[in-house]
Amino acid sequence: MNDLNALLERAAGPATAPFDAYADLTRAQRALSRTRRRRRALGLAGVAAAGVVGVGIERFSGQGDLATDRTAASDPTVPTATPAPPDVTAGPYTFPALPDGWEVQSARPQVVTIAPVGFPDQQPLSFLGKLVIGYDQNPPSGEKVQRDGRTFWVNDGGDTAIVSARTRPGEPDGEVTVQFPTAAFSTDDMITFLAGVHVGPGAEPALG
Amino acid sequence: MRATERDTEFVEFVTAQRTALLRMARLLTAGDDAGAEDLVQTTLTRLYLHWPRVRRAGNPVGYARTSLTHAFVDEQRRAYKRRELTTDVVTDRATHDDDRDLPQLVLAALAQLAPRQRAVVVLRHFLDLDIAETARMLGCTTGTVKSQNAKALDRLRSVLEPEITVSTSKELA
Repeated sequence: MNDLNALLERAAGPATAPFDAYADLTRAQRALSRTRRRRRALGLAGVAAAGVVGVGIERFSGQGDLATDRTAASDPTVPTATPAPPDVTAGPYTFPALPDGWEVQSARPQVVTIAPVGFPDQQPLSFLGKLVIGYDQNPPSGEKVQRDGRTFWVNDGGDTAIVSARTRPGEPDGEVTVQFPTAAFSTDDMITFLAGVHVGPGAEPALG
Repeated sequence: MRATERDTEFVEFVTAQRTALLRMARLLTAGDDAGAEDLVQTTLTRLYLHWPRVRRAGNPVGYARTSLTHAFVDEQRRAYKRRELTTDVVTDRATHDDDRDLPQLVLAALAQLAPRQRAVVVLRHFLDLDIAETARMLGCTTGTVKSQNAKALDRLRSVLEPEITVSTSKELA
């Protein structure tokens, strides 16, 4: 009888092998330089665009504009106040807006899956590269962040991170979470997003 | 954070962890050494780019493993599109006359798993991660991990047995 762990240990190859860590460093430094050049170029382009358009846009830092006003056409009878954007409802969850270019892929009592329009992975319970709102009854854990009198917890797992918070009074008891790809959104933006998520009575805790 | 500090810490991390990451990548790619090396290079570069955040999170090994797994899944998704018109001829049953063949037989069996099943096997049975951590790294539910694990073990056994009998303590977990 062979233990699978032992089989995999052998198949993985030798536990020591020669390599040059400085080759990895050089490669990574070049990538960092390219990234910084690209960001500088994008920053300059952004400043130029803002100067031409002359309006401020609330946006997620990494991805697109918030879909802030999907119903309001210009109405001369309401000249001063900008109407509040309607909430997005997906299953038992409501939240203020979707990132521009993203859509709700699936809404279930346990989770809402949000992905870029046309995202190749259409599996509703496959979460990689997607924004996932969830509800469970585990105690929140992670790095604590205070925002507007509410406590949020951040778990940074590399390409994916999770922010969570206890549900509000009147909502089902537990924690509400947002899992997101870190390449697309910043933690700060996702805390802001999570602060706008409301959990309705139809929410069911994710198992596991 | 000064660049030199980042560089020093990064080189220390690479020195300590590169071989382990390459072994993990070798299993994920089912023995494709060039593909494994590409995955590790991609992972280490991402790690360096995000080093301040990696440092704050305090778990660079976990970060690197997650990043490597994601790089593998992404690459497989792209590769699937490239090769979906080709037909692979695979060996259905393992045979081995010599104990030295064992690693190759195991890698050949891994190659017959779907990429995410292979990832579950590597995370659960090579890295010894629990179900919740495996689900978090793969961005799926714990139920999906359990079902993928069961299917993967069935497939491995169908390929390897009776020549190689596979046991695991995590059968139902």
